[in-house]
This record gives sequence, structure tokens and C-alpha cells, in this order.
Amino acid sequence: MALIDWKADMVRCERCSNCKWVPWQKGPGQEFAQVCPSISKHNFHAYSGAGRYHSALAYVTDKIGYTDGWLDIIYHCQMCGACDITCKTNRDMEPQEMLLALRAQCVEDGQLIPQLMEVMEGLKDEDNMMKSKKADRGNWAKGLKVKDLTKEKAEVVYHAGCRISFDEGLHKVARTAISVLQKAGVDVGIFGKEEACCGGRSYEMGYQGEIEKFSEHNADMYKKAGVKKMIVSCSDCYHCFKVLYHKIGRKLDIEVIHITEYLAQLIKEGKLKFSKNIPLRVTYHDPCHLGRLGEDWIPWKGVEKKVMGQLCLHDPPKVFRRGKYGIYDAPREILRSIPGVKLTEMKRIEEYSFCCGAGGGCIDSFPDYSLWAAQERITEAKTTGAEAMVTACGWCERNFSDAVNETGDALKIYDIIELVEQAI
Amino acid sequence: MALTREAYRALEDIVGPENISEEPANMAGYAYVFMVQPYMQTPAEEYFMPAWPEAALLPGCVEEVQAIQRVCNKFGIKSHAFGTGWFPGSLAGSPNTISLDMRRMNRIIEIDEKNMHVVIEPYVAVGQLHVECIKKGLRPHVIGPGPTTSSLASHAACCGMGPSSINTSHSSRNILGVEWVLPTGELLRMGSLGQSGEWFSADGPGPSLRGIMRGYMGSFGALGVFTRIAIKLYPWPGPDKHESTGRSPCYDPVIPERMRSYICAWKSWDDMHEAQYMITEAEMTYSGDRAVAAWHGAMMTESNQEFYELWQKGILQKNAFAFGIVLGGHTDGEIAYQEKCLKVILEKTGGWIDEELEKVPHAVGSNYWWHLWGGEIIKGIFRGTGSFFCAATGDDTIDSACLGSYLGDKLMGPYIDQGLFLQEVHNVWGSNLYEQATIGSHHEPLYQYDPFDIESTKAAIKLGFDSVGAAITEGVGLGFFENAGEMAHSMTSPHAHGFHKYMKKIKRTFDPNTASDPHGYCEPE
Ligand code: SF4
Ligand code: SF4
Repeated sequence: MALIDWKADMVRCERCSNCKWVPWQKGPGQEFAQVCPSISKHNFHAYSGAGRYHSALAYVTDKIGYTDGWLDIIYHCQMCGACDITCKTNRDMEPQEMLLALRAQCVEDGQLIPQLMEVMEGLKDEDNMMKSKKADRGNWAKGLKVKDLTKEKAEVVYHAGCRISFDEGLHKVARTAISVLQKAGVDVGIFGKEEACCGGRSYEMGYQGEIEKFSEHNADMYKKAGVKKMIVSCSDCYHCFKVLYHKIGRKLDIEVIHITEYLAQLIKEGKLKFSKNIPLRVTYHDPCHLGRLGEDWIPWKGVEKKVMGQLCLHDPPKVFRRGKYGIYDAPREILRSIPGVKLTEMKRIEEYSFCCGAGGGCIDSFPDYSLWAAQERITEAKTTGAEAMVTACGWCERNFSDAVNETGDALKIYDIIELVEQAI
Repeated sequence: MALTREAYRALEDIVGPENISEEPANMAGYAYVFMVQPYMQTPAEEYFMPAWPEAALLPGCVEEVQAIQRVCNKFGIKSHAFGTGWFPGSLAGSPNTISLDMRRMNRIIEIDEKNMHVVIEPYVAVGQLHVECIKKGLRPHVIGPGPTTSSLASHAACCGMGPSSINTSHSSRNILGVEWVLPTGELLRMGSLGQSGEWFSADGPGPSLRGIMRGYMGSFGALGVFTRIAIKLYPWPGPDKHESTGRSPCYDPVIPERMRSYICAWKSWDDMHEAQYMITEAEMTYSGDRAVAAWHGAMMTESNQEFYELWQKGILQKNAFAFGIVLGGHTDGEIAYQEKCLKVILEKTGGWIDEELEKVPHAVGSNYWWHLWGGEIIKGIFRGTGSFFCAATGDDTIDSACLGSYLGDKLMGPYIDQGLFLQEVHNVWGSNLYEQATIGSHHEPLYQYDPFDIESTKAAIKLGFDSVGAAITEGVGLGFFENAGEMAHSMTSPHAHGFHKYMKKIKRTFDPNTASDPHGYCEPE
């Protein structure tokens, strides 16, 4: 839907500010009570979910036009979905959809920011979001004995994603995933340098055309390789393959599974057993795209209708995605089943988790702001007494690791697969 | 009229470049809030406040606020401070005004357990305050707008009724020591704070300034900026932490051992009001207020669709004359006594607690959240249509609330019949009782309109205006929503001893250069 199609939501946003806070029923006190990184850092109302509604309303009613200041506000947003879910604990509205439409409108109108243009050039030329050479995409798998799906058949495709493929510090995540899956007897293969971007991050940056191309290309590849399932370690990719492809009408006809879901299942079935003790106090960071944004897309096409005078309903009835069915339990089940690991929760968890800071292109466009958000989260993690923060997304791990390196913090950052491997 | 560069630089020097903005997209956020059109009596198609602020500032301490006010006086600018900004009266309403967003001043300074008060800054939200106070076995007065709103704003400068008013009264009765930056930039420490540096009283020695500072309705930012206040605390009967289960969008509370949540109902207004008198006489509730059954229905459901399906079942209509109650005992004996009292009152007045309604998922829990801190208000009042306004709100006795309820029904009826507002049974949504009704009662005949529907909004605007006159004619008390601001005051003042004349004098005396935006209060004499 275009930006103008969200005008009713813009007008009906009453400025209650719930989009700034952890749901009240969860009892946020003085500390770690805010959910939106953007307004937490910048403080002006315009940086919140509600403020974005209000500036967008001013734009569609010709009260304001594009300015550098407004673009700064629009792009200082991780598209993390926290405002979306906290708004929807109360309202039948779609803040995240409006934010996506707003960015798409900017791109359509040529209102771009140079940092993201550079990333997009890389995507167009080299099929990745990392400004790297496509030819290097498979380097992470060097020396691994794993099926090459361009030549062989396998039941499961492991998709490493741009971040993990090109970030040497994260190669261990994909390599470990392959090794754990193979040990569990999974028939898994990879596309190596032929793997392409999912298209999800560019979609959230406002470049909504790119995902069409990648979804078509990827669907073709999976069909040719005859794979039945996809496993991903990256939460952004997971969200894109599972949610965005469905949303744009290109639902994959293979099952998309995050590695945490798969491992939790293997543990339940007794196919994955841990033999080593890992004495470690950990806390778990819910990645936005695995948690609140990771629940299934629910297609709906229809119109708003009024009953009882002015009660707003939808015809046919619309089911809102409110973050209830994100992937929250699987990673926790894994951590709880590792001998020695003691999990302590942060205040902002599950559907009201605080973003790592990397989302929405912020890691590229505003790295200082991105790191600031990560440091906020690290501060919260440390209050639990944890020695390590565990996550399940390459983008989160990269941003947290950089933040820890910058501050010299002793907190260790792990992808969940690393602990799993150590415990096997 | 944009700020002169000299004025801008003077302000920027105070707060730093990162805490001042003139960006139009940013100003849009300070010019928008629900109910603008009926409150401001502006055209239905005009979604924003008529005057946008020239700039927005984020002061970080009292000294910065004082310096800002001095600059305003020097350059002929007005300021308008707000806490969380959830009301048209809190936003800039006059030309040449800057908004002071108090968000950076967000600390709970001190919870004094012994003297049962807490000292807070402007951006401490009601919900946060509640969470921190119960750790010490205490609870604050909470207001109907709910947990996201500023406790300081309500206590120092705005109305202040809420579901717990039956015990904790009105915000004006809870405020103690005050740190107040006058429009001139001078600092006034009010009550005991000015004498001994302690926060325990808002009054004396000598004549109290509390009436001048906020009166009953509050000055809505037109008399300077309140930077720190103390408010009273009350005993809390539950544990030191709120617990809940479930995930978005409905979280069920773990109701503490010695607390109970009930939605009671009666067959008529008269029976319900009779029961209200008995409940207040018995002084036996933690919290209790009248909210229409449709409100409860919206609060207990996950979506409008689910609410509508519940409505179709007819359970809510059976409980139209509803009064929600939360009981809270400090001992087993106390809670047993409260339960017994309630049972007797229900028996004597023909009331009931509907088992079928109690079985609706989240019914009991949502009533608890509402009474705890105004929680679930957004589901209850905004999800359905997007906005609301009030017809003939009043603050007087329970009997007057009863009259107001009839008047509200009468005024809204024709619009409801035309489908311009949300329809439900007995559209008088809320009434709160102050201090066991010994100092009166507040009622809000509330109508929900769709701000995206031009006809619905036009009706809201018209009824908003007509209600002021109707409330005067029918003698149901001077309201809140309809009565704030210059226009409403000038209509009601002649019928109430000309109170407006005194407000104008106060404004002129305390703000000789009109350096605080009069919007929401009144123009100087
Ligand atoms: S976006 Fe939603 S939560 Fe935020 S102010 Fe608007 S209605 Fe409230
Ligand atoms: S998507 Fe995240 S960063 Fe952006 S406005 Fe919403 S909560 Fe803030």
C-alpha cells in the first residue's frame, strides 16, 4: 500500500505514546522502560513511531515537504517493529507498514541518503548488502565438506546470508551451523558463491523493487536444486524469506526454518544431545526479525467497514500480527537444555525486546547511532549479571561485538550455535 | 513568525544544539494530538493545532528552564511546557510560541517512605511511578489517561481524576512541595519546600498559593513550568512487583492474594447510584468507578472485531449499568470484610456480578489493570473509532453525575441515531468519586467519533460547543474538556461568580510579558 493509504491510521493515532514504552502490564520502572531506540537517543517526539505518523500526516496534507532534517528523522529508525507491536497491544493499526510505505515514498521521490545509495549500488552490482564482491560470497565455506547445490541435490538448503557470508568474524556461525546440522544427520547443502541476497534489508530501506528480483531468482534456484526446506541463521533473512516473500505474493513453496527452531526440534526428538558442561551465566537477546517481526504473514485484502455507527472493522475481518507468535521459545529451550548454562532474562524481552541497533540500514547509514543502541542493550544485559549475551542473528552479533570492542566491555557475545557446538 | 536568529542562538546556548529544533517535520509532532478539532473548535478537515510551535526545546534541568523563560521575556516569545503531551491543552496554541518537551527531566528523585511522598520530575510516567512506589509498599494517585501520562503534569497543571479517586482523590489534593519556574524565570519553591527545603506540604506558612497555581482545572502550562513536585502516597496492599502472563495484545495480571477485581452491575441508573453511596459510605474499596459496559468490553478484547462479536452476544448490554471495583486488603480480615460489604451492598441494591461476563477472557484482568493505573484505556476508548470528546462533563455530587448522565444521553442521542458516534447502551462512559464522594464526583458523558470521518468529526465539534451551554443551563457543573481555554471560560464564567476575571488577573500578575502561552488557560487581563 502507498503512503497515502495509511492516512486513516495517521489521523487516528491519538499520541498516547505507548509506542515509546515497554507494555505497562510488564511493569517497566525507571530503568529500561523505553522500547524505541530512535526516540531514546534523539528525544524529540518526531523520532518515535507516533511522531513518524504525525510528520507523514503533515506531508500527505501538504503541510511540510522534504527537508534534510526530515530525512534524518526518517532514516534514523531501525524498522525494528517495537513501535508496531507496542501500539498494537492496544490499537488496530499498522505502524510498521506505514514506516515501510514512508521509506518507499522517499525512494520513489528520489529522497535518498548517500550512505544507503552506496549499499544499494553494491546490491545491484554484486547481489549483496555488504559492498563486497559476489565472487567471495562462498569463502566462509572453504574447506568444509558440504554439498554444493549448484551440482548436487540435498533436502535442506542452508542460507548463510550477506552479513554472515562476507563478515569474516561471523564465518564461524555458518561453519558451525553446517557442522552441527551434519552431526545431527541433516542432508544439507549450500549455494556457495551462487547464493544471492534475500532482498529483505533493501526492502526495509525503502527500495521495494529489489525484493521482486531476488525472490524470483531464489525461488528458481531452490526449485532447480529440489530442496524441501531452508535453514537460516540470520534473522533478517528468516523474516524476509518467511514473511516478506509471502507479503509480496511470492511465498516460497519450501519450508523456511530458523536454525533455533530446527535445533530445538532436534533436542526434543533426542537427535541432538549435549555432553559437555558449559558453566556460563547468559542472557538472551531476541532479534527483532526472529521475534516480534518473525511471525507468519497473514494475507488480507478488503475494505474498512463501520458498524455500530463508527466502530471500525474490516471486511473480511482482518487478523493483525501483534507479535504474539514470534520465535521466542525455541532459543530459550536450547539454552535451558545446555548443561551448565544459566539463563537470566533482561527487562525488555520477546515482543518488547530492544533492537540491537543494526536494523533498517542504520549500521551503514548512522554507525554511531547504531552502536549507541547496541551499547544501551549491553548495559541492560550486564544488569542481569550475565557473563555473555547470546543472540540468533548475524547483524545483532556484529553490532554487539563492535560495541563491546569499542567500550572494552568484558561481556562476551555469542551466536546461539556457538554454545550448542561447545556443548555437543 | 520564525524566531529571530538572535533569539534562536540564545536558546541554543542554553540547551545545546542537539536539544533545540525548528525542523518542520519535528514541529508536526508537537502540533498533533487527538480531539484537536472539538477542543479547538477548528474545521473537521484540519488535523493539526492551528498554531505550530516555532521551535521545540528539550531542557535538562531547572536552571535551563529558568534561562529559557528569561530569553522568552527578553525576545517577546512564549513558551509552552508539557509532560507527555497527550492533550490539546498541553501543546503550543498561540503564535510565536516554543514548545518545551520535558522528556529529559525524567527522574524519580526520592521516595520518602516515612512521610509517604515521592518527589518527581515532569517526564515520570504514571505507570513507572506506580512500579517504583509499590517496591516500598506505597502507591500514588493515578489518573484516568493512563500509565503513559505525566504524573507531574496532572498534579501541577492539569485535571486529575482517575479510577482510584474514590480513595486517592483528585490530583489537586495530592500535590505537596512544588518547584516552579515562573513565566518570568524566577524560581518559586512553594509550601514547606520554600521554608525548610522539605517537601511535605504545598501550603503555608501564610496563605496557600495552591489555588493560584492550579485551582481545580490546572493552568495547562500557561503559568510557567513545574520542574519538580512531591505528591502524596498511599498504602499498597499487594506485593512489591506487578506480575502478568501472556503475550501481546492482552496480558493477564496475576492478581495479588489480597486483591479482587469485579465488574458489578445494576438494572438502572438509580440502583447503581444508590449502591455508589453505600460503597463510599463503607469506605471499602481500593478503587472503584463507573465505566459503561462497552468500555469494559473493549478493554477485555484483543481487537475491534472481537469486541463486536462479544457485543453481538448481548452479555455487555445486560451489564450496561456497570461499576468496576478493585478491592485490596492489608490483612486477610480486611479483604474478607470488604468482600462481605460488597455482597451486602449488592443484595440491598439489586446488583450482581455476572458470571458469564467474568468468564470472558481478560474480563477480570482488564478491570484490574484499569483500576491499577488507568491501564487498557486505549483499548477502551480509542481503538474503536480513534478519538473521543465529552458532552457536559461535570464535577459535583453523585446526584449531579446522575443528572449529567441523563443530559449526556439526551445530547448525544440524535448524533448516535444518525450513526455519527459509536453506538452503545447508555453512553455515559465514566464517573469517578472523590474521597468516598465526600468532596464530590466527576462524570464524563463521553462520545467516540472517528477523526478520519469528516461528518463524524463535524458532529463532535458541534456537540462539543453545544455541551458547554447545555451544562450551564441544566446545572450539571462546570466541565473539563469543554471548559478549558479562553472561549469556554468566557462562556461559563458569568454563571460561576466571574472566576475568569480572577484568572486573568493571576495571569497578568505572574506573567507580565505573557512569556507563557495562555492557550488552555486564559489571556491576561
Ligand atoms: S502510534 Fe500507536 S501507540 Fe503510538 S501514539 Fe499513535 S496510537 Fe499511540
Ligand atoms: S521501528 Fe523501531 S526505531 Fe523505528 S520508530 Fe519504531 S520503535 Fe523506533
